[in-house]
Amino acid sequence: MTDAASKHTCEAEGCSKVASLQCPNCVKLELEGSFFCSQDCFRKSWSVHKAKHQVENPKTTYDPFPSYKYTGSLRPVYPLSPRRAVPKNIPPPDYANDPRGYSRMEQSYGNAQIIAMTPEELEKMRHVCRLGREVLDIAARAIKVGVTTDEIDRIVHEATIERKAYPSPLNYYQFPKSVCTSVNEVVCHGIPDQRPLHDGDIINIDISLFKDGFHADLNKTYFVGNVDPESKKLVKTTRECLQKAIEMVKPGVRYRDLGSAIEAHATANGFSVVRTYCGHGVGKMFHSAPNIPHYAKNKAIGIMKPGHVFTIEPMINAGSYHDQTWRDNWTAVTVDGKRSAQFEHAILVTENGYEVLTGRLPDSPPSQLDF
Amino acid sequence: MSTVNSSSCTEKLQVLLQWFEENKITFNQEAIEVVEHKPTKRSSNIVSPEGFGIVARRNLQHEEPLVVIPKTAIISAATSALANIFYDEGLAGSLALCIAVMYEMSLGKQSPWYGYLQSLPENADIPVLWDAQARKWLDGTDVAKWLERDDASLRDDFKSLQKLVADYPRIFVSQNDIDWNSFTCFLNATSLVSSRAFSVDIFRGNSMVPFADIFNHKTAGENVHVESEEMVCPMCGEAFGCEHMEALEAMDVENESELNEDDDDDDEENNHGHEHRIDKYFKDCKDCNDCEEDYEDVESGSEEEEEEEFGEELPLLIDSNGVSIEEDNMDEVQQQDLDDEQYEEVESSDEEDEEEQDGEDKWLDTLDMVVFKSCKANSEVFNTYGEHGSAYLLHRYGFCDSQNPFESASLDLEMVFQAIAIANSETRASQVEELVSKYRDLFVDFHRAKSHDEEEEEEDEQEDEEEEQDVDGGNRDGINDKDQDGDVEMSEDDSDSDSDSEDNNSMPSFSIDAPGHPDVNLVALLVLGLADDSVFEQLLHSEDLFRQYFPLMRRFWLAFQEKLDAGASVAASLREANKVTTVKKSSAALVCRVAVALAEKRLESLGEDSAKLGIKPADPLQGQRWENAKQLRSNERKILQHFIKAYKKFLVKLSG
Repeated sequence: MTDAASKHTCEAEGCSKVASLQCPNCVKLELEGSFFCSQDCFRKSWSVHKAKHQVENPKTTYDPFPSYKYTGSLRPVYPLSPRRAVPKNIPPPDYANDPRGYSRMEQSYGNAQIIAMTPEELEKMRHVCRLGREVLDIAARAIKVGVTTDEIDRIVHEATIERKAYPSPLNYYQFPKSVCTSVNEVVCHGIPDQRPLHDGDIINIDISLFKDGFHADLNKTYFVGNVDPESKKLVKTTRECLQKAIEMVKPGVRYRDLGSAIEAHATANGFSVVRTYCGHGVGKMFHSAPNIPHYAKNKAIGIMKPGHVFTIEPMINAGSYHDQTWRDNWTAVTVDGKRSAQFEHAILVTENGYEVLTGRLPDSPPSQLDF
Repeated sequence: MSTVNSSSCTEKLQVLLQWFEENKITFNQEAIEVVEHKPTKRSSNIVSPEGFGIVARRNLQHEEPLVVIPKTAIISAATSALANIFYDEGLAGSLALCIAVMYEMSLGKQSPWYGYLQSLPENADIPVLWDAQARKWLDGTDVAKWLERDDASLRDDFKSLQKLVADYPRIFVSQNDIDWNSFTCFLNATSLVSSRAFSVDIFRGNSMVPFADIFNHKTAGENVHVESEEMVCPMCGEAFGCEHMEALEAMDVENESELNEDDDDDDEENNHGHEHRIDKYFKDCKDCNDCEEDYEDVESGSEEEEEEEFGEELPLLIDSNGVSIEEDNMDEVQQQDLDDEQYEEVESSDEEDEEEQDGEDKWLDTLDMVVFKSCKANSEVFNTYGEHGSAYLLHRYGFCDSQNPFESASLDLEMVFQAIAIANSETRASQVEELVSKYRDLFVDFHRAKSHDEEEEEEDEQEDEEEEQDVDGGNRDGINDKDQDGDVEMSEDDSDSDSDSEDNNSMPSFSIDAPGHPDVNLVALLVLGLADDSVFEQLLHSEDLFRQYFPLMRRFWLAFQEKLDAGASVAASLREANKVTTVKKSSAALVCRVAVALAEKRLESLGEDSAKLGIKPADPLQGQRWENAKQLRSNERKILQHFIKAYKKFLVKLSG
């Protein structure tokens, strides 16, 4: 900052006043210019101006919501990398190019319409789910201290399009990235950004991809470096919760009953079950009926029939089950800043039981839970 | 729940009250209490001697809220665990609801509705459950007629159920007093649904509404009304926004200018329900941090939304020393602080008080029971199941009143054809029959909407009523805001006419109301059936002419009857009515004569009570049925006699 500051003119369109005030984000990013005469002119220019912050390889990162009262120690680390491109020859889902990211197909189905897949559809679904698992394993191998979640997004994005698949999260209700990365107190829907993983973090990677008209959806929580025993117990318990629910699956079972098994096991270990986010039908639509709460005593609609495909994805919190959302409108965090873990599989109801469509492959990385 | 007077509670009631609490059904415990119903108190109004009732603990004021019932606590086919099975099998309406209720009952204590279901009686004693002896007492009444149809349709429904049970053996397991193969068990559940369910909203339809169904019915004497947001998402029942409504909302934003133009009070009656609802949604969203940005997007309709979605919040400019400009822009800073305080409030209340769940409760869609007519302390608080005559009440709910301003008795279409055949000719009767089936829509529409004239009259009456309420209820503003936001006041009424056998249009009948006035369709048909050959020939062969003429005849008769009733001379009445269309005095007289004959025939088939009823049986259940049948017969007879008397008077005038 020099005395030359007084010679700048306001950058707001139609204003030529002398300006000495600067955009703090631009200063942090060491960008030239960005002078405004008043907060008012700054506000008017904001929608155009902020694009300046989205630069490649920024020298400095910043918190985009400095006045937000964060519940834990995690912060968003902006700027986000530019939107990644999907090759034109990969067929996108219907929301990929919608300005709001709405899926017309999802909006046209009611919550009692649970689709049973035909054997032909199931073959495609199995294949897509297998691809999803491959991508998750690739992402898992990239996890180490110092890697940014944005880097994981890049890896996931590239592995997905390499398989001629579309990364389902991208532009779904305007989600900006190709994967959800949820670190520590993030319950779900974390947006990959410039934050490097720290030793002791836990990170959930939620992979969804779309190919041949079907979506796969699965996630796992991983340890980064040396994780404390309590976090390990949380993650392990969460995986067990998922397993207990999966084992209940067979025709005639009420979807509403899955939550009882999950909640019973979580509370027995001193943890709580998130109520805001639920499992869901998956297939031709990214999210469809049934809606599957993970907590006990819910009144969810639906009874399992052979051919139903859905996810179970319990989010288990170390503290309070309450969550809230960051001002990015996506990132769900625990209200007490304590950690949250999640595991998800896509499950098929068979004639007499279930089939896990997103299960381990022979070359999947070894489980971190055998401690 | 410390305030419940445990000495008066049976175990059933205790479990029910506990269940209310667990399911967030709240009631003003200082104002009302749930009591075991005392059959001696109001013998004619007891839905079931085993049932409960609501008693006021103090004087209740107009507009006072009494009960709040979250829609998550109700049982509807659309929100049942079985909803996807119903969808796959094409089942809906009262049969689906009945199966949903039976299913929950079959789960026993495993059902989330156990606390509610265990409080219900085994059945409601509606006539479909009556044995042959009791049914004989109804001989000649409207209920007897409807019962014939019930028996057939219930057998059909039971067959559908049997098929469903066979197709899904893992779902339909006979246990906990539910035997899926027992017709009696099915009838019992049907009677509970028939007597207790009412329409909640456009998604859920007819539903079992815990607590609301404890209030007993009093015709035209109700103390409470049920208010519910009817215009929920038709796809999933959400009242506060969902992916389906977002699609709608997106369309609305596209048509934003249109929406703004509609922004006056007049359109409440029109088809603007969903727009009002969306308005409400956005209003609520304003206070909600999660939705704040959505709200802004919609309001500005900005083209830059895509960028703004991941916009960072607007920071404060910094001066050359790197210091934020807060000093110079106090307004700005205060605004920001204010925002933050709001957020903190929401957060801290969440943390402090898990019970309250501030954020969640705000999005709870509820049914609200509000005092409609004040009520004295220590008296029973009544709801209304709608404006129905005795036959309807007995048939659907299992009881009837002695005094009922909505009383009615009906005449079958078949009888009308017979009367035309006798008074005119067989040919004419069959020609009229053809016309009726050809122009069915004219009758159906008319039944729904009544006549234009009548409707206007009714609106006037309603306005008068509302004014009266204003006087005794005091200030309505503020408390009633909800209505303006699209909430609909409802009575415990059935809106799914298709599921009701008496509205079944296979063989329409014409009702005669309490003042002794017939359905004008009946009279218009008689005018047609007795018209001169020359006139009739024209109507028979020209659709246009018929469509013009038939409504005119209805209006003619309404005007004529009204004038005569008011004591005008025949000449004046005819003159007035003939402004609409021309009917000769002699034709009018003939119509009256045939109408009287029709009613007399109906009265004859009702028969003498002494012959049909015999002596009251000693068995309490049969005794109660006998009383109800006797009451019904007496009410129907009164209506018919009223009608005959009025039309005989017209006849005297017309022939004088």
